[in-house]
Amino acid sequence: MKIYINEEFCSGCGICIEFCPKKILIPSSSLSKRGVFPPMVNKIEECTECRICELYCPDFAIAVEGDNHE
Amino acid sequence: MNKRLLSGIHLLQGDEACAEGAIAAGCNLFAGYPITPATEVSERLSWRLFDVGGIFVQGADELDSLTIVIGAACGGWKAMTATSGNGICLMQECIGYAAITETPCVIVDVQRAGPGTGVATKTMQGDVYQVRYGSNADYSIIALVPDSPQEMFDLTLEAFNLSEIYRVPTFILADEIVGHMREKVVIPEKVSVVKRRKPRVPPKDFVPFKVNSDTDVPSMPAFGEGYRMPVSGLTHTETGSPSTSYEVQKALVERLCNKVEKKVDDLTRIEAAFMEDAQIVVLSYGSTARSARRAVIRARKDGIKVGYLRLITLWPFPDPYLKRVVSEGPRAVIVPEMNVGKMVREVERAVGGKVEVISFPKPGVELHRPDEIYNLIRRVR
Amino acid sequence: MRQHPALRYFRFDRPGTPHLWCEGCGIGQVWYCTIRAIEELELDPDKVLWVGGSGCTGRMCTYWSGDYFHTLHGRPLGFATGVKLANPELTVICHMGDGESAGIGGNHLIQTARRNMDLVAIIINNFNYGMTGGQFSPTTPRGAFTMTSQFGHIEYPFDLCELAATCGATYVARWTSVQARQLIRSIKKGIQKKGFSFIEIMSQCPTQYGRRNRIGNGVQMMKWFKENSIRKEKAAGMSEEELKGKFILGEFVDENKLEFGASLREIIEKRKAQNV
Repeated sequence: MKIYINEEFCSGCGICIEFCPKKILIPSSSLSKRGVFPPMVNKIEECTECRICELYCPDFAIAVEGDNHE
Repeated sequence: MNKRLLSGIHLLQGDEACAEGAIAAGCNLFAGYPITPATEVSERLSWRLFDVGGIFVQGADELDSLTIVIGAACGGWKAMTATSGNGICLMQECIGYAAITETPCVIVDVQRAGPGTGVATKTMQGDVYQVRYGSNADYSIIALVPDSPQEMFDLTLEAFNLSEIYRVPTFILADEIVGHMREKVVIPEKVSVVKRRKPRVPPKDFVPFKVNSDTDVPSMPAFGEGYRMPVSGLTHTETGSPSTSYEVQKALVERLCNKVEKKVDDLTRIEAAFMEDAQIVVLSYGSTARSARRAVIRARKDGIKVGYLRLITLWPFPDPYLKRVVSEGPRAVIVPEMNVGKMVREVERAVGGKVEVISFPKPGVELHRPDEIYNLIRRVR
Repeated sequence: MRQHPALRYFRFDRPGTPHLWCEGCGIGQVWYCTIRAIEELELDPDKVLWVGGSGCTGRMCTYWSGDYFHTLHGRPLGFATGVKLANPELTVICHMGDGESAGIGGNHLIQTARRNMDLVAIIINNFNYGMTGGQFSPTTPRGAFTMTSQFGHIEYPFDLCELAATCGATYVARWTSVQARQLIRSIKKGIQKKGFSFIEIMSQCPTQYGRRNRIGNGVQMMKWFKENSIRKEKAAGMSEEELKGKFILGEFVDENKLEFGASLREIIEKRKAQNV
């Protein structure tokens, strides 16, 4: 299970952090090159692959790779 | 009535002949709004098109009409609309869009007296600049001017062909007299129809707006043929990417204008008579030329060395032809036209002061009478 | 790095990284929902045309990797009608903004709905004209602040779904950007429906509308949508006072009647039979 965050595309809107049902995303502590705080994964083991983060990301900056590599 | 080409001799109204010309050219969609004096074009196509497997749509207005026409053209069909001067006003945004997207389409303007609502049922030639320069910024179009129902057929067919070759909105600039009169129209056994040029390379090798070297015009796939066409009204590069740079703007605008302007000699169509020893020339277009003809013939009978030129292609304006003709002897050009004097400016510009140019404007509703033109020829002589 | 699934259909040689919409804007969300609908229906992307007009929503089509038709402000439905009549095999999806569809595009909307033209109209309603700086539109609520209603807006807004339904649309639905799954389902239904499908999405424009009306950023606006979303079945039993400021969501119309292109083609067939 892995969550990829594209810091070049992420505009730091925080929508994925807010709406993750398991609250596994938190804001990064360091600024990206774009000057925003992208999300970072806090508790990957609690991810249920619901993909709400993908569904809601307006910048196509997050991708969920399941254990089956789906 | 399910044949596209109704070969034979007919008595047709100009507007009806225009409709037949479109059908002969392969027009599959017509979308138009009722407007005097062009309504009859719509009415005839509202039943003829279905009979030949095409579609007629009555637009909710002129904008609806031309957007549907342009859409159908981008979907692979040949398409046309017809209106009058005040309808062309409403279509200007779409005309500019067709110009920048290089969409082939035919727009018939059966001119009425104006400005504004004017006199719907009477003639004028007031839109000669509107069709050329009416939309915002710079582009080129082609405009053909019929003088009879026969030419309404012939030139509408020609307009479709030119529109496909040059990928520009092409105008039939008729006037109410030509649109509403009835005359003999001969529809031949065979006509020459230009097919749209499609790309000859597969999608991965196709650059959407790169020109073919033999025509200076790009090939045009339709939506749904796998070419992933990026069609937009924004200034764009060869690949269809929008751009705000000067270089891209310059390249695009120059290409859109030059593809027509540089081919002016190929596009020039002029009817000429009595020109060999002409000292005075009467230069006219559209239904005015019918009166000019009679006046010139009568003046010739009186021994006056007068020549006759009738512009059939109005845009691109035939500068090179006029420059050549003027250097061969005439000392005066009379330009009768039914407006305040518009094409006379183009003539003045083209002849560059080498001959006297005399404007004979009549600002709408009434056609020049042959004796009016004849009397002027006598005065000029 | 694994890419977001939307990017499989994305044109990267266009403005922005990856696109030009603001931080928190809902348009990217609707873009992906449209992709999901196309994928789940297993449509051939080469037979799907995206049509757009002007403004932020108008730009959606320019990022789609297939055929796109970026047309004039307010007029996508006219152009789309022409394409679809010439090639009925195509799936034609029009994305329009609120001002685009109901202001300058008002007549195109009511005529296309009346004709029941087989198109999918996805309307992103963010209550203003975003790209030009946040001026009011025909859906801006009374009292709202925009660049051209700085004392509080005095005009009455449209209910776009009611408008589309009255004009004859055969599928009408409304969601907010929060109900993304329902939106995907509605887009699929709209694509499959042979008729005019109208799907309205209340969406966040944090930069202009959210900021000026002190609703907040993308997150805060989505929370505002969530808190004020009411399904139409529930709204039926509520008073006008209780429904003030709420977004009434659901499918309002789902019926069948012969669409425009099919009716026109019927004439061709009839005439063929008569002319034989």
